[in-house]
Amino acid sequence: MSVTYISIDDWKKEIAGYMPERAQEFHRESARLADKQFETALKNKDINEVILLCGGSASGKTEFAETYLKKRHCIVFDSTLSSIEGATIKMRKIAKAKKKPIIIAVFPDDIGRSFDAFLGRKRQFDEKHFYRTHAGSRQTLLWIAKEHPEVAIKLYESTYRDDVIRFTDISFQDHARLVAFLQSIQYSTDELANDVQSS
Amino acid sequence: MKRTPLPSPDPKNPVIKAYGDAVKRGRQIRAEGKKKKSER
Repeated sequence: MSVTYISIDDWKKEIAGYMPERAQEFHRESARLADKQFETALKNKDINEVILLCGGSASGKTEFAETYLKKRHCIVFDSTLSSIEGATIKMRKIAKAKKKPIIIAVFPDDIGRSFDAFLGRKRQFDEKHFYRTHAGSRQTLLWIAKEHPEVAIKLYESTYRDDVIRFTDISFQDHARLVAFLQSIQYSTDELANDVQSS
Repeated sequence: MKRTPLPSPDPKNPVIKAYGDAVKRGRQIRAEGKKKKSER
């Protein structure tokens, strides 16, 4: 038993002519290919759980999946989940396939460190993509918590210490406190850009 | 709110290592950018 791992970024490498320094240009096509793989994976009757990762670029989602989800018998969709529209479509498909959605959100303790990882990796995107995905994923998560309280949400904070990314589980006594916390971590793209500039 | 640290990822895992390398490169890029800005 092992995970069925779906990654938009992994699909980029399959596209003819892909160059990491121009990753942004390949994003739409790789997202389409990942969606196609997702639809096929949902047909697998042996799998019940579908994990949707959520979090801005370079927050540590892939590193989290690599470390803790590899041996889990489930589908993992590795994307930022930065649009409510995209999340709605994915959750509708999961419900139609009669599977259980779980949201695993990864947020950095330090947005400046996350931005450093974003700048330093081979896969290059416009800076706006960083701010948009960090603001958008938080907005989507709050929306899911409010509109779909039946969906399990697991929160993790990524931190970087002694040259290694690490994770902390963050849990709450009840759903109301989770919603209040998610409300408190909402930021606009401008606010995030200011935080990065001052870090 | 309860915070529970998870077991540390394997630093030798290529995915984990690549993240650390990206942070280091990114810090350098940003530091060079700030230096150039202050020289202007």
